[in-house]
Amino acid sequence: MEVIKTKDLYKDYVVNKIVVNALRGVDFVVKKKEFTAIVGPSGSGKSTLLHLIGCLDTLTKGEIYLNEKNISSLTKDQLALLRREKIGFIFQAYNLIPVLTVLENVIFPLTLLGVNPKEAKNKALELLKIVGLEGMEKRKPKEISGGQQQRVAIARALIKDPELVLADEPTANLDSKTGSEILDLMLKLNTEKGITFVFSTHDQMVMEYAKRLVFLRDGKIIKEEIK
Amino acid sequence: MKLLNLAFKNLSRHKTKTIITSTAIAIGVWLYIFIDAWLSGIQIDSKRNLINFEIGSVKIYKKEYFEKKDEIPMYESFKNYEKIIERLDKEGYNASPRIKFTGSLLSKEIELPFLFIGVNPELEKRVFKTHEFIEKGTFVEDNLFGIVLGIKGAKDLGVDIGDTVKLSTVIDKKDENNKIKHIYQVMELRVIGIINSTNSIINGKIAYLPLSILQDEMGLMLEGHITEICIRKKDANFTELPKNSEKAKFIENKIKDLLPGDLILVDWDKDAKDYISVSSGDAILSYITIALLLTLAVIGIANTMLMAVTERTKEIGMLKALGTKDSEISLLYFMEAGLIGFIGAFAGIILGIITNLYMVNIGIDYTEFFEKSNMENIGYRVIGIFKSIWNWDKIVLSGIFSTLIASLTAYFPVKRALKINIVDALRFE
Repeated sequence: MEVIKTKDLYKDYVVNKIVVNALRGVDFVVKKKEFTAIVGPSGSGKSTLLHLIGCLDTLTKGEIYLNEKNISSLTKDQLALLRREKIGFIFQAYNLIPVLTVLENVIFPLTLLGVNPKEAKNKALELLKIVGLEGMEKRKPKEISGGQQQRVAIARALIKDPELVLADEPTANLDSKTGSEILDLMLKLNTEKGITFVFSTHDQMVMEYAKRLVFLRDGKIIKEEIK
Repeated sequence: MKLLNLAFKNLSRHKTKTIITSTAIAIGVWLYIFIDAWLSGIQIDSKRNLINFEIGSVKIYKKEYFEKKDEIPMYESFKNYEKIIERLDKEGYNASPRIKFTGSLLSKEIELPFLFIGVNPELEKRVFKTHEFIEKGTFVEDNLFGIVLGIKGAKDLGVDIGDTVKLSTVIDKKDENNKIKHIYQVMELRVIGIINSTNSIINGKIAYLPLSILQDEMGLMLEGHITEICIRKKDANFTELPKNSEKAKFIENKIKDLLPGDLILVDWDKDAKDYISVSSGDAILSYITIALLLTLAVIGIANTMLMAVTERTKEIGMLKALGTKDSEISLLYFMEAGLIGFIGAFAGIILGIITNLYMVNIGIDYTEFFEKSNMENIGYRVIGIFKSIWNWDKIVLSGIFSTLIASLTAYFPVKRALKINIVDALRFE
């Protein structure tokens, strides 16, 4: 089953009155349970592609299908609900809410969905155990390491059982050891729970973990590799 | 609830700023509650004293008199009022006929200007409370050439009970051609009573004397003329303000057939319009001061919120990425600003209630201050201890209002937050 499908996807930016063609006709499909890396140098359009399929940005031309549903013409609020229910995000800079504890950060997406607080807490505790942060529930983000913060971000992305997890350079801010631990964890969740992961990277180590590589250059897919 | 928790936690990011802004709101709300309760206390006492000592609930004047009543135009008098008083009595109202005139009193030491009120003592006692505040001697007695003075007036004149004073006045009378005649008159009177009331004006340079001695050449040659009739309901509660049955319109309907066309009935608050507008002016000035203080606090909140939006740009992007809708982000910031207002208002209300507990039950004693000052210039009809009253509705409203205003200060910061594009916000450093 296709989780994502893009058709002739274009995205233009205007920077200092100059139009930048970030994506130039991308046709891209991600199937359920895939562990796909979008690979390319800086400025190749990989983050832009990730943002568009994550409903974070609007496209210039083309179509995007999420679970075979065209999302190209959805309103701001409809896109917000789609992100809330179906997509998990992992950011390079973790982006945790500093005033909330580790546990509260993980629970946050479920509170947006109106899940019963007790049920949400139990699920968050279970996930924190899976990502190896048992006992750190009451700590604030600044009281834990970068790697631990990224584990919190992974737990936060997974708590709502998303159909798709998008990770924008998830290991870029981590040392190689912590980075590989995070990738091991993502891979484990993909294998055991069947969660679809799509992430962007230009890191050779990350590429080694990916089961499928999509190479992007100058806004176009130039090559694909399935391991 | 989900966002309220986050909004509350966000307040802890800049504790000092939150505390300073909330404190400013608290001081504003506290001052408002204190000043409002205090002014209300003074005003209600002043109003009661105006009614119970000076006006009654309604006055009957000649229309021309009322139009220039500040000049105390005794020539705009009227007579044949007895039937009106009888009818009012039958309808359940007490009425006191009076003549008011100006002049001066001369003691052995000094001559001072006074306001004189000629009264029928028996009827006057039914409408007003003045006779209950005779500190020395007695109240006015019919046909007796005696005068009753306010305590401060007597003190300024240097006279006491039994002393003789001379009343010097100019009688203004209209002749048959409606021309005003001026007749100088001097009367010798004995001080028979000294008033020490709760109304500072009555304690000042005001003198009461019997209407009966003013009728012929020995007095003011009134020949049955008076300048006003003061009315009060027989069963009136002197601690309360007049009710509907004591309104001019209501009473007028009962005596309409007897009322000559040139006489009018005036409600107490219309009669005391000058006092009420001055005291309202005082109140407005106080409220403006508090409003300025609150404005500063509100600017503080707006600044805090603007700073919050700028420094949390990345976080706003992340919240949006997680699926938080624009309306929920707006709500988050409105709640955050509202909470600063709420905390301040809550503290202000607590402080206000504590202050009011003291002010309502004990009050501030200004007796010494007033004894040294010229009370007539202050305007408020109170003396001695100033007490506040409870204005619960205004206390609650001040809390709600401060919270709402504080919340609304987030409007522009929120507008800015919503404009932020998710991708740009996530890249923001």
